[in-house]
Amino acid sequence: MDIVNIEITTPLPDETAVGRTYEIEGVATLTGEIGSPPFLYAEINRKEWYKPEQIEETTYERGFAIPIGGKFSIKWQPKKAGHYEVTVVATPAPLSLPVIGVPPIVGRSDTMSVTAVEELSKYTDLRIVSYGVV
Amino acid sequence: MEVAGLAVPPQQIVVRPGNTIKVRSTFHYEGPPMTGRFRTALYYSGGIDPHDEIAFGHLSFSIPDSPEPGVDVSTAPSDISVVVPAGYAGTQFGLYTKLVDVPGADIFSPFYDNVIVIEGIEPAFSNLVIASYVVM
Repeated sequence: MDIVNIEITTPLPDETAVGRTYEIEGVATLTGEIGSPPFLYAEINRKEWYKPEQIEETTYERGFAIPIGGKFSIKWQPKKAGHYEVTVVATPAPLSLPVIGVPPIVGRSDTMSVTAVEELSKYTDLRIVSYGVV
Repeated sequence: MEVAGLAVPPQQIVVRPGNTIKVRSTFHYEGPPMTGRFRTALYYSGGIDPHDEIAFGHLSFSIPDSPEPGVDVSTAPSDISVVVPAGYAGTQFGLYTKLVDVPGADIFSPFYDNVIVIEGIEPAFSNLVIASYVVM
């Protein structure tokens, strides 16, 4: 059973662009009312159909929580195109990044399914507007 | 530096060899962060190559994240300097700008034909005097 309830108020969009920064916002509350504030991370799994779950690429992004009220935000920037599953997790102690093994999880949000695509540059209306002799 | 007689395409301006032309270009951009260069050239369109460059100048730019609705990028305020070379007096030239060192192919502005007229310089004789004379 989760000791920390995690509610996402601003989820990631379904489609994201590689290289852009997105922010997950939410509220994390302790179910037992007392206890130290948890450490929050976005657990990011890059899904590749040919890889078994055990060897998927998993990264963690640290979140920043306000102690009173439990609001938090986590920034994430996809580095590669592909399909990701992103879950906010709570841990009782800070994770040493990169994470080796299975971290102790005391709370877990719903999983967000996100696709990251390479964004194309769009140039329009390149023109000369003025010229003169100096 | 002040620009005298600022013109907009397709107005013609008359220049002399050695003059510096300041050219301002703009474009609209939407996309990920990127860097590149504006490259503005003076070209002659009468030969085999319709855009035979005789002089050019360039300016680097850097664009941070530009989501919708994008950002307008300009060479202002420094603009691009193109120095008018010698040897083309009495000829008309065009101007164009392209974006180089950007992801993908270069991006071209319209070609503005014959907007620059290089003035012919008349030979100037002065101070013709007999400096001395003598009986032989």
